[in-house]
Amino acid sequence: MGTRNLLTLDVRICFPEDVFAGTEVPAEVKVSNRGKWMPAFLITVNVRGRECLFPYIAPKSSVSGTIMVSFEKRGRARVLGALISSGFPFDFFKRFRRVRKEQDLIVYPKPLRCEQRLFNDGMTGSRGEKELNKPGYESGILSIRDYVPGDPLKYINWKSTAKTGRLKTKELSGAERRQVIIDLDTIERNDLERTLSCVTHAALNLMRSGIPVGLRVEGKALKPGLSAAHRRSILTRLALYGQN
Amino acid sequence: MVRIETLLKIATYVCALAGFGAVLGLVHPAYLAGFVLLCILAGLRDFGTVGFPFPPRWFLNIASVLALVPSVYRVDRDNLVEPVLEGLLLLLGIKLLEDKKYRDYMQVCLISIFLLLGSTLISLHSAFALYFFILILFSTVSLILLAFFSRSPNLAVTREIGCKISLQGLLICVLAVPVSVVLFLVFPRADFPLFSFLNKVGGATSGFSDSVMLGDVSEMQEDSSVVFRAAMQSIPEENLYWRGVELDHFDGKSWKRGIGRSALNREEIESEEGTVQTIYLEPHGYGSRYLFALDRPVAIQGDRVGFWKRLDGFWPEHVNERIRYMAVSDPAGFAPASQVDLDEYVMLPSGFSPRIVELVRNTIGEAGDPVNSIMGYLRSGGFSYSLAGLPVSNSPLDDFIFEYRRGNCEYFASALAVMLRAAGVPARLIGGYRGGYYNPAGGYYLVLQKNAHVWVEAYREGGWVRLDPTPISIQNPGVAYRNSLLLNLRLLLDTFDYYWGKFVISYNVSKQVALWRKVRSAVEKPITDLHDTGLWLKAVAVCAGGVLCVFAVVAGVGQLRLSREARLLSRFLRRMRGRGYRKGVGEGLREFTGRMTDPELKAGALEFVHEFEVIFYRDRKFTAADTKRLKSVIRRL
Repeated sequence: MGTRNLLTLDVRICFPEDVFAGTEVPAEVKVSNRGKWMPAFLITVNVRGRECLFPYIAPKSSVSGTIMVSFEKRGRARVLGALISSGFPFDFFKRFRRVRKEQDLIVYPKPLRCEQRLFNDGMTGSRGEKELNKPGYESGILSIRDYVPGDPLKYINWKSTAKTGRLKTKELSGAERRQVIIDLDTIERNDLERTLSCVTHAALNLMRSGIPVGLRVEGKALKPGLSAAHRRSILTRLALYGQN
Repeated sequence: MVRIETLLKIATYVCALAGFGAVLGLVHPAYLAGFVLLCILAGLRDFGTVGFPFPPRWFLNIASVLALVPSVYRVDRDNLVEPVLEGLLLLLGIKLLEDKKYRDYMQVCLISIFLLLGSTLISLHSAFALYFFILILFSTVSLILLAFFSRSPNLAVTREIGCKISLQGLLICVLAVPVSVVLFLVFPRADFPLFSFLNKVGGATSGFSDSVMLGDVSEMQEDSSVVFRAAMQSIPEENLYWRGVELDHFDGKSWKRGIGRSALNREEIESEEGTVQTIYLEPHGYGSRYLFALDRPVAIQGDRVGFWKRLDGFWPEHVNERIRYMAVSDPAGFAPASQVDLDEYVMLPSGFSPRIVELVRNTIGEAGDPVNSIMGYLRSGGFSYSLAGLPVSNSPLDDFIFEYRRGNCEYFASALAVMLRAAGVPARLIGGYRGGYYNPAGGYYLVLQKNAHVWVEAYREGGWVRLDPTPISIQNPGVAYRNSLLLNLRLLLDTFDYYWGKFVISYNVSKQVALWRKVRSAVEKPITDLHDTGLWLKAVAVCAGGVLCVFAVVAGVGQLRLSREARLLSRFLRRMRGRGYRKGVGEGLREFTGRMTDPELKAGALEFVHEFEVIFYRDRKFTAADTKRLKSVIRRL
């Protein structure tokens, strides 16, 4: 009975789009019971040492829960799957089953506010005005991206949020913009990880303020941009810096 | 939403109450009252609105130890189980009062189970089955809920899920049944309460005894406990005398079995034809060592008692466990006997009551028949039946005959036997039971202690004749109970008791051995005789029936899981397949009916499709009436 309780279960783990090192992120755990007749009871799902309890999973149905997980280091991370366990029916014995579903994800550097001067305004692109009195949130929508903690609530796109079930933020273009290009190769790097964290924070901050950010790493440049895809590209480059 | 802990508490309380029920009547009422009080307090705390704080654990621990002290003090060789049960009962009540943690819930279940198991050491009542099933079911449910509780003490689920979790307990119990049956069949077991000999019952009650003592007590209490059940055909009421012991020695106050009389003084019998009974004799605490059978028994046979083929009705066997035996009786009142030492049966103590001797002489007269004369005197002399106000003196028979003129069967029978002996007629007392209550549902007589009776046998014309001078009176407990409204209810409940004893309790080691021998012989000599078609046919029929049942259940449940419209459509397509049309994958219903060539079938199918679509595509719900109508359309196809 206890063994059968685990046999028909499938586990899917969904991580948020942005996973920063050293920061707890909510991972959605979805457990499906393929069984036709028998429900599953008292299921514990363990992902990276964190657990989530599902008291009851009806046959042919799924339940979801959230586990707060964190990754220590930036770069590529591999999640091997989940360990499901149950002490059902009497908790005298605990049965385990490993659900192997390897999943690769990029862990971005932990954002860190630094006093360090990372870039010169003189190195920024020439388009647009230097003096920017208004933040770039007034004009048309550039894109719609996932909500990032810290986004102003008034820019949440409720329609998309309702459609997808996830919080979505409008990315608006500024009427006037300046550009920033961060040249990682020229930044003083006594402590690489700290530098990458500072750069990440600065890039996110700038982009959130509507300032397109570019990145130059190991001689390769990413043109300044503001889209969600561009943002991911920059964060990925930072995450994988020095690991390839 | 309902908290798992609330469900756990309910299940735990049910367990505790089942444990309490199991020892009801087996322990001292003070302990029962103590438990009830503690249980009510705990219940108010756990379920009620009364919010008094939990007593501190150290205080309850000390209380538990103190509660055990009297029990430990009372334990001795003759009284072992009862004090232990009493101590456990109080512990259970104290446990309920605690602020319960995981281990406390577990302990409540365990103590309840101990109480139930302990109760079987001194009683094998069929109510055990009820408490057993309740306890097993709810302790299983408790353990399951406890697993949830240990994972998350504040877990709450919907009522529906709570029910489904609890139902798992039932499922586990059902799954355990096959294993339990195997254990029942093969595990060594006793068919009597192991410690029953430690709990002897005393006191003057109306029941069977192997001696008759007159003048000791003035009042008899009724006893409703079961003595035996006799599975047999119903016979006329006047023949219902259950013989136990012969009492032939009278010392002026009491009747006893003659000293030195051999138990094996058997007399040959000519025939064993008669009324056959299967007696299920209960263990009873009177220290009796007699088997009972319908008067007069001619043979007795049983696993424990061996085979007896005798006439004098004395079947010495210690009865401290439940036994089963068969008896053959000749219910005629006359038993021919020869080679009887008649002098023994006319003996009276020297100088015995000249008043009685005088009375006998006067009663018989000169030419009268002593038996009829004395019987007539006792019946018409103003004597009445009574269990109270009995004479207490050194000459109880004198007091009974000349002063009180009321008494129970012992006085009437003693008076008759003594007067017959005074008249020179050999006479003796027979102890046993009179009457019984026939249970048509089980096909047996239920005989209670309150049916205990003593009557007289007088030797006349070459044989013993039964004489019963006791008037049939409403005062007689056995007669009064016959008119009781409770009798039918008791007989109904007793039917379960009877079958419980017959099939569960009586399944003893010897039957286990017999079953094992059967299995072994079947393995060693399997049935290879193909000519025995009857057996084969039965086996095949049973197997085929089982397979069909499984298929029917699976198919039926599968159908029920479909929606009403899906079932209807499946029925329609099945019908069409029967008529030679199979719907293709992705083929529309109208397209499908369009290729039918039989115009009548096509019209009928179109009618179904039209009606079906009208409901289905307009998002209407298929009502029972719709289903019925569409089914009738399908039937016409």
